[in-house]
Order: sequence, then structure tokens, then C-alpha cells
Amino acid sequence: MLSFIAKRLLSGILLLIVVCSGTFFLAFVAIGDPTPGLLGNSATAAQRDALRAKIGYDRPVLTQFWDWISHAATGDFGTSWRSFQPVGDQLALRVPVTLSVVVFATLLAAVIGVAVGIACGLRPGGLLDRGLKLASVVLFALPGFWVSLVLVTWFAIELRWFPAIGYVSPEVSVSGWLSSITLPSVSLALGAIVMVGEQLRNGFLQVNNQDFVRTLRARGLSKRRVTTHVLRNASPSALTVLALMFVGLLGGAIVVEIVFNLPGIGSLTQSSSQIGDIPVLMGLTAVTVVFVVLVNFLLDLVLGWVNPKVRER
Amino acid sequence: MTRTRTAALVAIAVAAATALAGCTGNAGGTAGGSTGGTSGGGQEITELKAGVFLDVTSWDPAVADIGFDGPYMSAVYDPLVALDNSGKPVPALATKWEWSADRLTLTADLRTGVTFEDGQKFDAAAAVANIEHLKKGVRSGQAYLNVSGATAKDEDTIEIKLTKRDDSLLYFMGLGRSWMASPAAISAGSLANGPVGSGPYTFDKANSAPQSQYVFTKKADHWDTATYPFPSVKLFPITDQTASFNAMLSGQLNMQFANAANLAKAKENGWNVASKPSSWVGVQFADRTGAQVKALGEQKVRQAISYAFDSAGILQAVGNGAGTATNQLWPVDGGVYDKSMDTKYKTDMAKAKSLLAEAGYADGFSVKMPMSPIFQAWQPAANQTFGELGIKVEWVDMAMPDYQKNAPTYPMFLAVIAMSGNDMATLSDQVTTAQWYNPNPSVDKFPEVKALVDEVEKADEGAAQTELLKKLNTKLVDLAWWSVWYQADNTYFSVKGIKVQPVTGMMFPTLRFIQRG
Amino acid sequence: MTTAPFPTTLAPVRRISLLRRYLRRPLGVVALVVLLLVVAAAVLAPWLAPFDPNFVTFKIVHADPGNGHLLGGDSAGRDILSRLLYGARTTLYGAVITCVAGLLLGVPAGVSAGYFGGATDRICSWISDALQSIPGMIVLLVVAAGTGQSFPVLMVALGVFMAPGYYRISRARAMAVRKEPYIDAARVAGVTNPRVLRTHMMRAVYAPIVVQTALTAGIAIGMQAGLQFLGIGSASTPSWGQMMNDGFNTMLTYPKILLWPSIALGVTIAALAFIGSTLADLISIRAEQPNRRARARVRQALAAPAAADLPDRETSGSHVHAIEDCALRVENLRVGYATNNGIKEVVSGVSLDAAPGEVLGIVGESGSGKTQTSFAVLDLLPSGGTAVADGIWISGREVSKLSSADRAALLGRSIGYVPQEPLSNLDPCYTIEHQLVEPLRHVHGLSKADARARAREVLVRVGITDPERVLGSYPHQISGGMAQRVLIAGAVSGRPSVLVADEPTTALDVTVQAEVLELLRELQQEYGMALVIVTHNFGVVADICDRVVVMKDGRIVETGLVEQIFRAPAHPYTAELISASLDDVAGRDELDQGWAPAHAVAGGEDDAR
Repeated sequence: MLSFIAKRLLSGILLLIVVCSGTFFLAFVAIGDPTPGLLGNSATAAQRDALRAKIGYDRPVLTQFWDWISHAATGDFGTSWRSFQPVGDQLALRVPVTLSVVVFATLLAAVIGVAVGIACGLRPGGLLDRGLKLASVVLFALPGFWVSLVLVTWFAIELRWFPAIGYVSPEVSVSGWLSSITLPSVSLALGAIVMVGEQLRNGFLQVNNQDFVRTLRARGLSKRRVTTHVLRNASPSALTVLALMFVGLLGGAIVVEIVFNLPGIGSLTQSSSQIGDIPVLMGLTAVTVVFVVLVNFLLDLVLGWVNPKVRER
Repeated sequence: MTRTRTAALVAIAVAAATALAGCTGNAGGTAGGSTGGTSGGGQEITELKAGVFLDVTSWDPAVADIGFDGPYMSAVYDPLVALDNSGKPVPALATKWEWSADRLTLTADLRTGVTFEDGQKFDAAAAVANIEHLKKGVRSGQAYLNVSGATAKDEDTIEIKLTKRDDSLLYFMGLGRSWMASPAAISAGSLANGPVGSGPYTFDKANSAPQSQYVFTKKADHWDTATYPFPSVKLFPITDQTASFNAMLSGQLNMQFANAANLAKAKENGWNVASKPSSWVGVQFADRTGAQVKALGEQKVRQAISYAFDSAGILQAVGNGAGTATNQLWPVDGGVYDKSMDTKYKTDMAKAKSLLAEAGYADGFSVKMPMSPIFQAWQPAANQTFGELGIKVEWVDMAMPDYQKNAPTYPMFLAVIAMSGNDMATLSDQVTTAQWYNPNPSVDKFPEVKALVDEVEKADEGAAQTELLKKLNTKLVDLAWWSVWYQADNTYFSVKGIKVQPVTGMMFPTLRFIQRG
Repeated sequence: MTTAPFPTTLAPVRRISLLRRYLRRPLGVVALVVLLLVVAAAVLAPWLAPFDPNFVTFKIVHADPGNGHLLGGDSAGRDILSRLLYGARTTLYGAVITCVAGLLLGVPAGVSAGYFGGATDRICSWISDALQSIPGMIVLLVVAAGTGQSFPVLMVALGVFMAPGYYRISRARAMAVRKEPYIDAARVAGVTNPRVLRTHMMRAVYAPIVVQTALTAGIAIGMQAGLQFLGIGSASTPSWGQMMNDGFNTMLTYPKILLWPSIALGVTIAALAFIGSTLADLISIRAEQPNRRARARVRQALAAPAAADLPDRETSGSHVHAIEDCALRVENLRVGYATNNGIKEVVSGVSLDAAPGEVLGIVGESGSGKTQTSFAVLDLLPSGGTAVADGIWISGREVSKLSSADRAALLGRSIGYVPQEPLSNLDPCYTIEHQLVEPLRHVHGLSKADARARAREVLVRVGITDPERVLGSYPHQISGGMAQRVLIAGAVSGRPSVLVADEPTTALDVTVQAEVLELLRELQQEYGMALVIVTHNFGVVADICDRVVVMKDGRIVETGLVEQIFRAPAHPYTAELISASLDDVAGRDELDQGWAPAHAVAGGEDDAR
């Protein structure tokens, strides 16, 4: 078990380093000289040189990379090239917003998705099952912002149950926080619920066809007890989908952040990539990958617990 | 620059970019004293909830932008100089001022009895420290290019020394370049973490969420308390116009920076609508001397392009009708603008073609133009008009930072450029000094223009100067210095009970321009 | 067998039949037609579009449909229909780039990883996992910012992020196919690795890849529109994402501008999704379950056969004991499955019986219906299977008319089951102890301590010397022979009166086989059970059985005492089986596995997302 944990951690750290290096060099090659984007073109050559010196862009790329990664390893992501604020401060503001929404959406997806998945798995071909299949296609086909807009129109503008925009920190008001993340989380969760449900339902049916289920039934175990066995065996694929979804939502919630005007990492990613603020981009990459690694690690632990065979791979 | 999408948005975003890039001034003018702000009417609304397009850039006045930072800064800082509705500098912390005869020294009397939130006193020494800080600032420095320094004459008088006559200095100070911060915070370098000013409101940090919502509470004993009617102010940076409008519809906002496309809905809801010219839209001839593309050096070719465009149509279609079709870029509500000249390039494709032929380009010519997603609203019309005229345009797609980087290297490009509320500032921003959007002013290559500019810059401020500017304006239009299509308005919606007075030059007006009514 | 829609061996004709079977699905056909229409619209856009998509007429700005502009004008004054048609080109072009990029990267890597395994597999899988962990949006935005908004480059970048989907599915297929005999045969015959990969492997992954491509194209189109919606991509080419962006900003005032491109996008993606899911159904990536109506139909057909079939439907086999003396008695049992080609009957009228203390062998080749007969007796037929009988008696009680809940109540108490493949019949997620104790506690009502003691006791009884270690182990930690002993322990711990053992020794090593048979025999005598052994092997019959039933094609061809059958087989098929069993004891394992692997594959494609 210990070596399993160590191996997964090591692999995660390796992933972190590889992805960060890749993004760093990609950003350098793709963005090029960032000073026009940062200063605007009215800036004189002298001002640009000054900025380049200030942000250390005049040094060789490898030196800059080493500088970044050695500091990042200690948790220091440097300062933004635009605002000259520590990148860490920016992230500290932005990450909780996206994380709140994404975690809440993931929880919704997990709870409702599992319920839906089991219900459909128990009655394949039933009304709910067919509804799920239809919902999966419809949600897959709808443009991303549609669900959000419908939710806003109903629950924010018409009923005024939830705010149409904005994010309230839980430090200011817990109820305000919950109410501010409800609509965005639900719009993200709908697609996820369907995907988790589908995955679990398929996994459920697939496990149901396995030999040991027949044997369990042959022992006289009740349907509920057999279902517990089936569920445990079917859960890895659903959990994996849930983890993948978390990763996807973390980086891909941009449209929801726009519609609900959330100051999350999606919009920060977009604005920093446009102006070429590499330290902020790198901070975002690092933090996102750390979360991805953590979630994958957690997933591995859970999978290892669910199915001990995994631990010994 | 953050992302932007609609036509209206595009104008704004670019305007914001240019506003922060285009703040140098070097012409003349004296300060007139007039009362600032409008006074309020209704009593019901106690909280202003305003949707601003962009987040505050920085709480440090030296790093802040003029564009959309106005409402944030004006809540917590007092300026030395403010502007009135017509864009004229009016007293604030500086109660009066006087230029020396050579206009190289500005002497200003300061308000007494004002203290900063950290207990520091506002006095001459504090003002000098602020001006020096602003002069060194990355963004604010551009307003003080011609200022060599400031000294305290006595406890409540300062002297600002200039190296060169600069008639737009007070305008820029009033626009948002003279916010006074605590000298202790300046020397500690702590302004970036939060404002320390003497403004009419206190920043309620505990209830604010940076980049999402800023809460301000009114001070009981501010010296200008009558100008600020709302006990509480909340500012929400919302870039997406649909999100902003939804917030307005749901009652989360009671005032917003608006998209003119939603005008009909706003009227349906019975909201107040205010608008004012903010940016000019058209074609910028970066190569008006013909150095790269010989054709553009021909006056007739540039005129032909001006004739070819259906400005009114583009304004209606792309600009949602929010603006004024004109071929000039001094504000249509100002003194230099000459309405009678707007008929000069009345859309006439036949005339355009014949002009092109007269210039020797009967078969047209080819040119490369840069294109960025945020300009794409105008591209179809531009491409089509150029095509009909016989000018073959090859569009080069690029992202916005690249656009700023590269656009000036192309002979001409589509422009959405912020305007100034001050006529002399307009002259310097748009004609005489190099800007990213005007890389080759090339005034020297046009002797008639050069002569007029010299005259204007030497003239006494007031009617005489305005007359000369009018002559210059006529000349520039005749030369087709630019092909201006229209002046785009910034539009603001507010619920009944709140009235907004927009100011050309500010993308979002400071709080003194938002009143009950 | 009936429920193996996607056998592991792929005949070349499969492509044709896949298409033909696809065309029989109405939803699939509609989706395909829609997609073809979109493709046609894209290809023929220059001829179909009434206007130049970029032609601006200010008078149609925000215009409602009409005046020759079927869908009206957009906010720049361009004809929306024309832009939709041209936008289809951009959309499909982008989707093709993305899919091709994903395919070219993912499939060869996946096939190699699955085929070669080892380091290749580990490295490729790590890269694939890494790709899925990358915040793709950051990279796409950086790429967009850096490449001057180059559309093809962006779509290739998107394709890179789609590659893991292709990788995982082709790796899974390649791993499954690699174990197939014909791959080994090819390699033995000296076919080089590249050729095996090119011919056999590519053919094996072909069908799932088509499904994956339909899904990937849908995702790619959605992502592409999303990027364009965010203002990324070429400004001068019409695209659906751009049109939605345009519509989004004026949606409160002019909702139709947003509506048209959303419909176009939604319909196209939905068509791809339906094509994907229909194909997935056909190759059984998504396991379809027969509904209640289909089961009723099978029941109907089995119970009331068409008149023409009647001669074939006579009961086969016979009874030798009186009903009250039987531990098990089956009369005229029929088992059928619903398939796309109608109802397939696998057991056609079988009668047999076994008395307490008697060992009955059911012998036959794979497909003879012997296993189906035993499952029908247990009421544990795979989903889709339906059994009808004139009567089934267990311990002298007629059970065939009982509700399924009452039938289930017999399991573990009156009738026990020992399966064929020991390891796949233990739940991999639970310890042996849990699996033995759970039924004792919850079926037989023992206390936790009693159940544990009993489990230990039974384990010792079935010949396990270190029961504590085995109890604490997970199934993958014990050997096959040990697992079979555990299963036998599980089956007899409830002291049933009938024990059905389905090929209990086939999966075991030859040395263990005899021990297990011996154990079964001992237990059967000790508990006085009727033991029904299903086997293809007359060796087993000779070892243990008292009486034997020989089955062929769902019917009993011969019944009798073992000595009698061996001495003088009445049916030539029996003789054939006997001689085959004696010639070749171990080499015929595969024969009877036709059923199991087919199922494993049917549900094994969890990578299809």
C-alpha cells in the first residue's frame, strides 16, 4: 500500500513538472515578446526595455524557466507582468471561486448521477433509462451557455431566487456563497450528472452480466445485497468519469464564468493569455495540475480501496 | 485587455486600451472655475449598484487606468482637479490655480482640513509627494511628461513647474490623474493592497470580493458630501454584456455600462438612458504619406475611400445606431465640430471610383490589413466596400495584443479609438504625437497642417484657439487625414431615480456624475 | 450463442453486415441522413447559398425572415442562411482536422500499446493520462494567442487533446484481440509485427473507432463553437460559433439570430451522438437490455410454438424416479432468447430427474444447451433468456410457477451452484471471508460469530489447510484450485438438497481436477445431496456420475446409467463424445468458453464515452 501511494505521488509530481515545462515553453514560443501586449504600442522602446528588464524577460529562456520552477517549487509563483501583484494573490482570489463551483457541481453530479445511474441500471429500458439516454444526447448537443441562460432567466430574473451574477465569498456570508454558486454549479452539473449516470448505468449492467453476480445470487443473497456488490464493482468507471469531469470543469468553466460573471480562473486564463502574462498563466497551469494530480491521487486511493487488485499493479 | 464581443463592446474595449495608452498632452489652456457635479433630485434610492465594464486596475493612482477605473478611484480618493459636465477642469482639493505668464508654472491653492484615512494630513507636502509619485507612475506618468517637478510654496500652496507649455495638463489631472493618496502609504508602497485616500466613501473590504464586487460606505463628514447622494455604493465589474444586462433585469444592478443593442428592452423597463460620444470608428491611414502603399499618399485615394463608405449604414448596423455619423473626430457636442462639413463625403460610390481613377488607380490596388476578432464586427462592411471600390484587401488575422503590436506596421487599419473631451488633448492625441494607433503623425510632411498646428499651439485659449482648431479640422477633413465613419457613444442604463452624466474621455464616469434624478 | 453480438473474431464480412444492420435502425438512419444533409450543405454551399455569406446589406440588419432572406439577417446585415451553409464548411472542416489528428495520434499508439504491452504500454498510457490532466483550455488559449488565431493549428491542438479517447479504446481492443488464436497463428506463420498491426489489429479496432469518431466529432464541433464563441478563430470565415456569439449579444432583442446557429449546431451534434450510440448498440458498447415486452414475446413463443414446429418440440429425455422421490425433476423445459432475427431457442423440451444421493451428469458439446438447462433450473438465466417448463420440482416441490422472488428464496437453501470458472465467480472487491459470511448471516440468519466459525469450518472441510489466510485474502490472491474449493464451500455451506456444478473442473489444472471431483463426491455423500454435474467430458462422467444425460442442439439424445452408456452408446453422437473425451482430456477448454468471453467483450468497452 505504501509503495502504491509513493508510486502514485511520484507519478503525479513527474506529471506536474512535465506539464508545467511544456506549457512554459509553449507559452514562450507562442506568445513571443510580451511587452507590446502588456504596455500597449504607445510605449517607447525605452519603456519596453525597462519592462523587459523589470520582469526579467531579457534573460535566456532557460534561466527564466529555472527561476520560475525553482521558485514555484517553494510555492512562489512570481509577480504578474501586468499588475505586478504576486501571482499567488491573484490565484488566492480566483481559485476558490472556480473551485467552489466545480466542487459543488462535482458533488451534485456524484450524488444525483449515482442515484440516476443505479435507478437506470436496475431497470434498463425503463422510462427513466430512456429519459437518461435522451437527456445525454440533448445536453451533449446544446451549446454550453444555453442551460445557464435558461437557469438565469427562470431562477434569477423571473423568480429572483438566486442572484443572476457574481460570487460571494463564504467569509462574507455562507448563505450568500451558497446562493451565488447554485446556478453556475447546476448548469455545470447537469451535463456531468448525465455522464456519471450513463457511465454507472452501463457499468452496472456490465457487472450484472459477470459470473460472480450469478454466483452471488445462487447463494440466495437478496437483490439489495447483490446490488451492493454490483455497485462496488461498477463504481470505478463512474468515479473515473467523475474525476475526468472535475479536471475538465476546472479548466473549462469559462463560459459559465462569463454568463454568471464569476471571477474564476477561466476568465483569468483568457485575459492573461491574450496579454501574454506568462507568470499568471504558469501559476494557473501549476495550480490546475496540482488539483488534477490531487484528484487523480484521491481517485487512485478510492479505486484501490474499492478494488484491492488495483493496489498491486 | 479582456475579451470583448459585441460591436459596442469592441468599441469600448479598444477605447479603453487606447485611453490608457493615449494620455499625453502638450497644448495650452487655462483653468476656469465652475461648479462641479449636478445636484440630486429623488430620495428613494439609497444604494447605487453599478455594473462597470472592467475591474479596477490598481488602487495605486499611479498604476490605475483612466478608462474604467474612475468610479472605483473616485469613491475613495479626492482629486486635486475635477471636471465639470462639459469636461472643463474645476476645483476639488485644489481650490484655485493660476498659470504664470509663460505658462510654465502652475500655482495652486489647496483645501485645508482634509485628512487621509490613515490620519495623515493633506497639505502641500502631501500634494507634492503625490505629484512626484504620479509623475513616476507607469500609466499616470504620461499626463506629467511636461512636468519637471512640484514644490510646496507654503502649507497650502504648491507650484508645478513645466518644461513646455501644456494646455491639457489640467484636463488630464481632472480626468483621473490627480487622485491624492496618503503620502505614508505612497512611501510604504502599500497602495496596491488597498486604497488610502480622503474620498467621499470608505472601502468596505470585509464585504467586498475583489474582482467581483466592491462595497463602499459614505463618510459622514466629507468636505464635498453634497455631491455624493448615495449612502452606499456597490461596484460590480462585469465584462460580459449579457451577464450585465441579466443582472440589471434581476435587480442586482440599478445602473450599468450598457450595450446599445438592448436599448429597446431598456425603454420597455422604463430605465433612464444616457449616452455620449466616446470613440471614433473608421479607417486609420497609418501610411498617409504613401511610404508603403503609394496610393495612400494620394489625397484623392483617401477621399475616394471616405466617399465609398456608407457611414450611416455602418453606424446603424454595427454600432446599433449609438453614435453620430460624421467625418470628424472632435466630439460632435464640442466647439470644434462643424456639422455642415459632414456632407462633404456623402456616400457616393461613383464619385469614389472616379476619384480613384483620377488618381491613376482606375483598376484599384491591393493592400494588406490587420484583423483581430474584436474588430470583426466591422470587417464585413469594410471588406465589401473596399471590394466594390476596387481595393483588394488581404486580411491578416491576429489576436488583440498582436494587433496593437502590428497594426501600425500596416498601411491602414480599422480603428476604434478613444476620443478626448478636451480639444487640445484631441489635437495631441490624434494628430501631433505618435501613438500606437497613429505611429507616423507625419504633420511635417503636410506644410499647411504643420502651419495650422503651430498657430493653434501658440494661440490663447478660448474662442481664438477654437477658431484655429476649426480651420485645422476643416483642413484635415479635406485631406482625408483619416476616414472617420462615426463617433460611437458609450451608453449607460439606470433605473428611475438615478441619472448618469457621461463624460467624453472617461469610459465610465466618476461617481460625481451619477446622481439622483 | 445468442447474446454475442460482437464476437472477438472478426470476419471480413463484418463491415458490410455492420452497415446493413445499422440501416435497420430508424433512429440511426435519420441521424445519418441529417449528417449527410449537413455535409451536403457544406459541400454545396457555393451553389445552395442564396447570397455571398459576407455580403452586407444594411437594410437586413437584425431583419426577420422574409424578402428572399429565408432566415433573416444578422447584426452586421448578412444573410443568415448563407452564413449557416458556409459555416457548416468551417465546422466540418474543423471537426475533420480534429478527428484526423486524434486518430493519427491515438490509434497507432493505442494499438501498439495494447499489442506490445510492457514499456510501450506504460509510456503511452502515461502520456495519455498526462494529456487528460492538462488544463486544455489554457493550452488552447495560448496556442490561439500565439499562432495568430490560425484555425487549422487550433483544431490540431484540439485533436491532440482528443487523442486519449482514441488511445484508450484502441488499446483496450488491441489487448483483447492480442489474446486471440489467429494473432498467434499469424505470428507463428512468420507474419511480421508491423503487418499484424496493419491487418489484424486495425481491423479489430475499426468498429469502436468509428463510434469514437462520431463522438469525437460531436465534441470537437462543440468545442470549436465554444472557442469561436469566445472570440477565437478566424474573423473572416463564417462559422457557427461566431454566429452564436453574434446572436448571444443581441439575444434579448433579436433572439432569432441566436436561434438559427444553435439549432444547426445542436442538430449536427445530436445527429453525431445518435449515430455514435446506434453504432455502439450494434457493436454492443452500450449494453442494450431486452424490455419486458420482448421477454413476454419469447415466453409466448416458447409456450405456444407454431404448428409447423410441433414435431421438433416433443419432449426429449425421460424420468426414472417418482416425483416424490426426486431431489430434482424437470419436465419439458424450453429456453429461448430474443434476438434481432427473432427468437432463438436453445433448449427445446428437456425432461430429466435426479434423486437424493444420486450424481447426474449432463453431457454435451458447447451449444448443446446443457448449461442453459442448469441455469434454467436455478432460475439464473442471463438477461434476455426466458425459460418455460411443464414443471420443475426441487425437493419434491413444484417451483416453475413460483414468483421469481420465491424462486430466489430456494437458492442457497434448497439448491446450490458451483460454477465453472473459479476466479471470475468470486467478487474481486471483497475478501473471501466476506463472501462466505454474507450469505450465512443474511440468508441463513447466523450471527456474525457463528457465520465466521461456520465459514472456517466449511473451508477446512473442503480441504483448505490455512483457512485464516484464505479468509483474509482477496480472490486475486489465491489460486484457481483454492478458489474452486472456496466456491464449493460457499455452495454447500447452506446444506442444499440439490447441487448444480457447471463444468466444475474444466478451468483447473489436471492435477487439481481429480481432487475437486473427489471432494464433490464426498460432500454429496456426506450431505445426501443430488449432484448435477454439467460437463463436456466423459472422463468426468466416468469418475463421478451414476447416471448421465447426453444433450445435443438443445435436446436430450440419450439417457442412462453410466456403465450402460459407456458400454453401449445408443446414439452415435454419444460415442463420438466418448472417444473425443478419452483422446483429449485437456485441450478442449475453449470449446465451452464460447459463451463467457463473448459476454466479457460485450460489456468490456467501458472506454466508450
